[in-house]
Amino acid sequence: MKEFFSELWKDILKNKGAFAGLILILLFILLALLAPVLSPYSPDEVIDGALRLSPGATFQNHYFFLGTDDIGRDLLSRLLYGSRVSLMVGLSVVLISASVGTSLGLFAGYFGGWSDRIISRTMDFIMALPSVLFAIVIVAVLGPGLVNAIVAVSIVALPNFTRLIRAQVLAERNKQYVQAAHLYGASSMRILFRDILPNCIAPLIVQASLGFSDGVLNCAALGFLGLGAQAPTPEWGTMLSDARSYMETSPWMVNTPGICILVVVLSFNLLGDGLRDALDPRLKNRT
Amino acid sequence: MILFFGKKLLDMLLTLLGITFVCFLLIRLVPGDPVLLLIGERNMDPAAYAEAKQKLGLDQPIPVQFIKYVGQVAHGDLGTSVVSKSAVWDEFKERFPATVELSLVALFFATLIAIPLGILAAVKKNTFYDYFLMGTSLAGYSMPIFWWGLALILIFSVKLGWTPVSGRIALEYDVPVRTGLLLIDSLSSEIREAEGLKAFWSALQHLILPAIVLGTIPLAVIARMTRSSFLEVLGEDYIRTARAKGLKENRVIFIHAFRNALIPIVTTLALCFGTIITGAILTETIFSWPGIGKWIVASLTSRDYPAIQGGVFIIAVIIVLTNTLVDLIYIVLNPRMKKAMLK
Amino acid sequence: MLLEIENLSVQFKTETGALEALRNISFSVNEAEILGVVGESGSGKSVTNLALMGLLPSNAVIQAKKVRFKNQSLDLNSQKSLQTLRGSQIAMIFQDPMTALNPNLTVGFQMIETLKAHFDIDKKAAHLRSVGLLERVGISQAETRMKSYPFELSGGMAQRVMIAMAISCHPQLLIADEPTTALDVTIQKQILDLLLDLQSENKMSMIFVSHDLALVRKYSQRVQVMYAGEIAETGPTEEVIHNPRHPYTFGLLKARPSAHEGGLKGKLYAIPGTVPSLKARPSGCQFHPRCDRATLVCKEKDPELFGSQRKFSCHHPLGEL
Repeated sequence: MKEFFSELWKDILKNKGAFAGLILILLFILLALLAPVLSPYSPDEVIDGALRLSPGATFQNHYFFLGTDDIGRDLLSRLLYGSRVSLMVGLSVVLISASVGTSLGLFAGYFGGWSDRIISRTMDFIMALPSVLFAIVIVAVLGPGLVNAIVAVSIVALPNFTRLIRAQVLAERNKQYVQAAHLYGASSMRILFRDILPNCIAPLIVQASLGFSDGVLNCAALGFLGLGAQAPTPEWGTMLSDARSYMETSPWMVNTPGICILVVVLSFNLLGDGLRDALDPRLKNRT
Repeated sequence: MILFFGKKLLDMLLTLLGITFVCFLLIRLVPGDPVLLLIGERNMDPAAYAEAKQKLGLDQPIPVQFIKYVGQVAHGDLGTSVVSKSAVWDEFKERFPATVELSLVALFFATLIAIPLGILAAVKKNTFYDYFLMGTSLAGYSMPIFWWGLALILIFSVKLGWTPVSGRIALEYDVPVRTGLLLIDSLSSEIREAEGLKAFWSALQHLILPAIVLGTIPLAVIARMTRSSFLEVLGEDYIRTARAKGLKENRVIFIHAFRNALIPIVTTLALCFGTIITGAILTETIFSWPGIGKWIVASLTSRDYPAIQGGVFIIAVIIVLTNTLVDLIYIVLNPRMKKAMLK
Repeated sequence: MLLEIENLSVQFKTETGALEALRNISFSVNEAEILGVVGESGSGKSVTNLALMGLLPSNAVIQAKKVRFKNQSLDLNSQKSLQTLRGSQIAMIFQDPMTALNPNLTVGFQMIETLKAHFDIDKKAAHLRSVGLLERVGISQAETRMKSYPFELSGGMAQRVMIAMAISCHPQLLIADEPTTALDVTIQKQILDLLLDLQSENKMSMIFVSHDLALVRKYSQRVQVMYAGEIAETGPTEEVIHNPRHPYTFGLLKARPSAHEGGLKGKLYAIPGTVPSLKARPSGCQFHPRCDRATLVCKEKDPELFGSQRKFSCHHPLGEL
């Protein structure tokens, strides 16, 4: 296991994209964790009269590095706190969809039969609808809000993990070491978790990274449509939606959250991509 | 052969049934009284309420309701929009061509640009060009469409004034509705007599920016898929044989490599359909494009549940049908499977 | 001499440095002769052929002092000039016929395109000629077979198709890179006899690469033994087999099951040690770590190929019989 991770680390270093992605991610996490310390103001704090000031403006002894929004709140602080929201969103979505999806996939792949059929059908069904649309439907049922948005996006992300794990399990199930373990009397659960699961880690990590970026993107989309985080929560997508009417007069209100989303999503995609490249050719290069 | 097609059709029908069921459940899962939700009123006096309930069939047991619903849907009756008071199906039909036109144009240009770029990246693997292309693809793939659209509007519509900000065509043109696709309809003889090609040009101008925005992610996805599919094929033995036979490199790439690399690319194109619909919802909202994406979002905001239910249902059905069709075409294209089936 | 190669070197550029696949090899092929090339994996026998055809990957660095084909100079780095020779003058057949044919194109398509690439011929004539070629290589119902896809053919049949395609343009040199390794033993003989037949009929030269000494002995007039990217020994086949001078050749011959003298008792002989990894080449003579005749000079100096018709590269060759 240890050598697996050290190999992985070496591969990340070699792949420039993955490395860049990792740096950006660490930066993002750092900013998110340190937001309360770094923010000059509280994200909800309204400074009277400081409406839609451009970046670098000063107003009555206040300095706004990235300007203010239409209500008079400091954009820098809101964006920093927004990174906390995004971090939480991404982690939640990945944790939920990965754990539930993996369990379903293990079950479906290993036990087959009816459970497999039901689970696979359900996953096919979820995939039949485009992600945002399905998330919208779920939110329509549950009602708007950040938590509901996270639930909706997690459900939409389930098939990615389920199918991945199921395919791995199916491939591994027929291998001899599994059959041997079975003969030795190991219980199915034990085989699943101790023998098969470790072999699935590699693609899982890749999918987790990509799932994070998808999660953030989808929740931001929901926020933009007014179905995700509600005011005054400083979620980047919701901030974009609020800023839309002021696009022409105060473009920074629109561009700053947009670029933040882009950079975060990009960095996780870079990492996920790089990891995928690192893990794949290695399997092929073994002669 | 028939067995195979039959099985696929059965699968499709089952999925459609599942979709119907979920849409049916939708109204009943939303917190609130289904009768009020479907009628769209906050309160109703008891007599009207009872009448509405009976009319909607909501006084029946659930299984009966479901069967009734399936029957209605099969006949195209998807309820009445709370906002417009007209049939949901009609609302959908009216807006559908706009989305189709936007999606087709977006996908067309995405594919047209992506495939050659992907091939070039594969052929020039690991050169600066390759890295640049893949880097840009990744950026495009990570793009939040809703911001990208706004940014482009800011640059091209507001600052440069090259493209209009919203709508499908300048209001002064009255284009006869033939296909619903403005690019085609604006070329019909009546409008050409009156305005020449100005209407067509206006429609095109309105279409460019939304199509670019909508097509960005598919472009990135297709380019990357093309590259990886091509690379995989180029490493195959039969490519080496083709070269060993003395065939010109162009022929090796376009006849031998391209045909075989095409299969995963076509599969990706089919998958793009879902991305397009998602993108359409957001793009139409930004550009005020009068398609079904914008309609669904508006229905959500105005709590027009029959419209949401109906709209989602139709979209899901279209996607399932398309996927099944693509599956079947894929089988036919692949000679191995075709011959296996014909036995 | 049909083909003359002098001091050919091939290196591969990798992330971990340059790998030497071929080191200064020189050999020649005469008209209408079959040169057998023997060696283990990693000996460079395939790389030589691919270099000759210009089919090496882009990270290959090819250098040669002299390459002459049909008395004309050939630049192995010029894809343009190599492409005109490929298929028409020099043809190649590969080890695994099932992957060497395009799975999504019919046999007929692949044969006709070969002919059309090199001759000014119309589709109908090309079709007829292809059918004739398929019959010549022993495929029954050739006309029907033209419409088959590779996955419908057996291994042996697919290889016959490959052979038909290869000879369709009357090449002067046919390179057969382990053509029967992937096939059943019973089919092996048929294919090789076919190749022999075609070779004598068309007065073609052939480079026959194999790891199987018995086959090389049977089907080639001259043999070349390769080891770790160098030529260990070369000469008329029978002479080399009966009178090996290089210890490696001797070891190979001794390791054959047919050479085993103990009957059911005792172990089969195997040359001690392993083929050196290209990343960690030994100094001096590449074979010295495994040779029981090695001395200090073997460790220091890599012996050169020495001799005229009969050549070997060893400081302490085995004696003449």
